[in-house]
Amino acid sequence: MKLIATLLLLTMSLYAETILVMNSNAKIDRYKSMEKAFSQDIKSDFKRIDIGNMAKDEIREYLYDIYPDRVYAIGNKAFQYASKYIPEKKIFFSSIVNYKRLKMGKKCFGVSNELHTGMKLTLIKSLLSHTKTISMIYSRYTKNVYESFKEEAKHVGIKVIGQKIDKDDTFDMQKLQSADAFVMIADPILLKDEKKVKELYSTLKKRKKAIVAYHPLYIKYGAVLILSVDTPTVGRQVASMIKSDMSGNTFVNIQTPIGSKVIFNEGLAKRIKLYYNKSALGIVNKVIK
Amino acid sequence: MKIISIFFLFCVMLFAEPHKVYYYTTDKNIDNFKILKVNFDRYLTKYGDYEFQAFSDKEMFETFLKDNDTIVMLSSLHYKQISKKHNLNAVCVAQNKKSITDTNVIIGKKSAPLQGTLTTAFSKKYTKKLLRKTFGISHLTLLKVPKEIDALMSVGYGMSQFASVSKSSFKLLQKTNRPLTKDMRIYSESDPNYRMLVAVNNKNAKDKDFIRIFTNMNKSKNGKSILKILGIDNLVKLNNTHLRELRSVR
Repeated sequence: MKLIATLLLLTMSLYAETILVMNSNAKIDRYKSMEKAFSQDIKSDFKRIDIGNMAKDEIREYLYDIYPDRVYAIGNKAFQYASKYIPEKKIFFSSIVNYKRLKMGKKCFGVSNELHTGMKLTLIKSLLSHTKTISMIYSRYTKNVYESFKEEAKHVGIKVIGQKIDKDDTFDMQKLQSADAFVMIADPILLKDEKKVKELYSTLKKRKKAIVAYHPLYIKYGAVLILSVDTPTVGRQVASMIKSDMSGNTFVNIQTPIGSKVIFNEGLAKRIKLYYNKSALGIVNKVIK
Repeated sequence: MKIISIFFLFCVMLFAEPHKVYYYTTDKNIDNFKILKVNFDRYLTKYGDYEFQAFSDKEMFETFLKDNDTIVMLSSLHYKQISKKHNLNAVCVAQNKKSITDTNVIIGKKSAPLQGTLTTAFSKKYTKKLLRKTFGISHLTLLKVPKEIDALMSVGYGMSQFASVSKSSFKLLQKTNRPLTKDMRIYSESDPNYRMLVAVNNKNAKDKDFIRIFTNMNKSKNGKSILKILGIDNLVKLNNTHLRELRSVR
């Protein structure tokens, strides 16, 4: 009897599927929070490795030794090593900047880095409910984001006014401040000149225009609303995808983050006499006075 | 003798524990308890020796409840589970848009097959209960999200197949983004539940001055900040009919 049980356990362990969490650098807060939330939610055994200080050969050797069935790669570095050395395995990713530019095999799944444009617009319309027009700055690198905003904005009754920029272009302030709010996206050309961004914020603030940004850093410049990704939810989202995959349940291969983190500078909103829907404050995670 | 008495009283005052107001509810996901605590403690100062303590873990919250002198803020569903054991009596209820009840619903895309992921802002335990009532046994994968609007938008944008939210959140989204909700339908509704309750197990249950601590919240700046963080308009006193209803389901 004992022998049968031992054999059964041995067989089970032979066929047990291995999950490996590969963290590009566990010292980075957002990566750490994703891994923590994933660990609490996965409810299956898994191995983990922080490759932050590991050499290329060490990583390769480790991956061949473990040879996991599924990898959760957090960050670009982890994804690139996993897809280089074990592309035949299922790779789930998160925290990859612009994942579309990377080569994605059929066995790649994951959560993109930015909230769905429609989600952002719905959150804007819920809180700043009088918004009828928004202005945006975009370049050839972010044209697709701008187009997506234009399309989704129709559903919430908002018109988008865009200014396309190229290297060294000046901003058409007349155009940008003609809208009810300015929505900032992470455009590489725009972000390259910090001084210009500060000037832009300062002018819009003087004109009492609402600024919506994607990172809490912009609160100090004068953004009234920050719409960013709730990173622990991303970890749970990947855990849910892996659980679905293991149980044969359907799931969307590449998803946008579904947890939002909303910061609202209510003090500034009052100072610039900006109308906001008080009954929608429940969607805000953090209110700044 | 007088000096000894004064010294004794001083010692009692010095070492007396403040009255604790314990908070745990899944009605609202608050990720920064620090701000809530700072505001609450500041608000409670003018009413005496009170201290606010929030919990993110249900079991931990329950271990802190004592047989007397307990003041708690909790969901009505949780109250029904533990009020008898801890001899709790509800005194106030949260009010939002003049309503003290809300209905929780399961939303999904019209004619969605019963598979995939369900996003929820409630506890997984409660969501499973709601799911059992709706579909019997289901193999949906549960995914917890920070806010109800996230759970709903996740269905709208195709990341999940179902969402468990309050009916009022669904109505808010219908108002804000009609096209997103036009393909969604309510699969099931819970009975109306009272919103978050304030309950006590001490003599204060009928003390008008004590109850005013909570019902006066919308009259002060700090109180209003707390209400905003809690996502409610006010806390109101429960009347006898409400109390009877709450008692009958104990």
